[in-house]
Amino acid sequence: MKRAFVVWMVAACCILGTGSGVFAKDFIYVPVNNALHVIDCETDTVVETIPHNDYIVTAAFSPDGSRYYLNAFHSVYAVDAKANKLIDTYRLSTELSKTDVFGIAVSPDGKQLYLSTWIVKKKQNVPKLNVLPPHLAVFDLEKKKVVKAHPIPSWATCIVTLRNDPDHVILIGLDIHKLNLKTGKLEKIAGMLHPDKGDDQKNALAVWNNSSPGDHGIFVMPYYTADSLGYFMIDRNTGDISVLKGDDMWFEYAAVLSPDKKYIYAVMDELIKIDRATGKTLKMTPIEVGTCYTLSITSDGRKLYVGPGGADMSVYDAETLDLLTIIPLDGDGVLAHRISH
Amino acid sequence: MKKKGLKKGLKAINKRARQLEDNEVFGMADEDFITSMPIGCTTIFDTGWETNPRPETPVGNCVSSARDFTSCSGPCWWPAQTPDNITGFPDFQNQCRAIEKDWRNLNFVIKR
Repeated sequence: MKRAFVVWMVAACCILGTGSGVFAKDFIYVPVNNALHVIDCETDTVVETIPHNDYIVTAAFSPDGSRYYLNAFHSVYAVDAKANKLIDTYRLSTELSKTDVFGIAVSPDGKQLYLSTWIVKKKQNVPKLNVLPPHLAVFDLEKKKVVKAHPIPSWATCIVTLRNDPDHVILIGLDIHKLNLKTGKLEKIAGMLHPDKGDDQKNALAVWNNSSPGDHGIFVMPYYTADSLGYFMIDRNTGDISVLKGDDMWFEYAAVLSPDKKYIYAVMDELIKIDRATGKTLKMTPIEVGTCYTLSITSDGRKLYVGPGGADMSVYDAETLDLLTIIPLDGDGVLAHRISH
Repeated sequence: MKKKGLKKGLKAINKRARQLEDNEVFGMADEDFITSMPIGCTTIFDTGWETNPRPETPVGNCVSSARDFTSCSGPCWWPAQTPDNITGFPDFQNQCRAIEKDWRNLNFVIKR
């Protein structure tokens, strides 16, 4: 009886541990100039530095968090996020075809990359350039090549995948579109630069997607109208889109929703905590090191990692917004993601 | 036939100039994105974004300007202030990994 109880307890711990991520540790992956840093959220130190030689525009993780893909302008670097090793480089430009990659996402099954590309082709010995419309390129990770490409609106740099709908992605740029990946059909679902009649034009910086593998799946992006600040949200589980108007007009580059979905945290020159239900500002603190581009939140919602921008990452208490520590980095950077494993 | 993207009144007078009118060269001319695309990183070129009018500290964006250098040289290009990291000056980060301490190494006007 006693033995059976022990076996039952061990089995229960294994199931709970793997199923809910109880034993998972949080790490912040921070691409900086010529390196990828990995910060351990327990010790708040850089525990791994993976060198490369590039400037990273954006990055995306596989849904299971095992891969982290760094989007440079002309290449994509694949990182094994468990071994913390650079395992492959996909060169997308050739002598006659220059491909600039401005945005990246990973398909829900982890087998393909979606790349927001601008392609310029030239002919051998002919002084002509053929500038193609922007395309969403579908890159097959097993075949290591682009298998499909759909024309997309310009500056659709932020690609949001849907967990319940692998046949569509949402593209955020001058306006917001839903793209059918099978047919290439585009559907405008929200106007930013070209709003519906009577609606305000919106101004947003569609660069950062601060999701984490296995999180609540809600994408948040701050936007501005001429006289107000709001938050545009996409529930990646259902595809539902919603908007929250903020009470105050802060200047914010990027935002993240807390794991309990109660608070929006946003950054630029200040770190701001917003009540998601009402849009009211709960707390605000100027960021000591100066402007930061983005922020990440731990899986328990207790700590915020604000940065990069400059070569540092500031750690804040998510409840009080007190600065806990500043972690120096090797170089400047634009983005970061929390991955737990 | 009137070519889009050409200034009114300008007319090609030789073979080379007529080649430049070819739609293959100006492939973007028939797309509306060339006319609607704001230069910069925001969906609308709204100066309120970049000239933060807040009356209290920190006044203005960004603080310090060096903190906003990295992204401005890439997808969010501000041409007067930063190197063009996409085409004209790729790999500037090899000279300048962290602008606040390495800015003296940056030679993007005259390559050395």
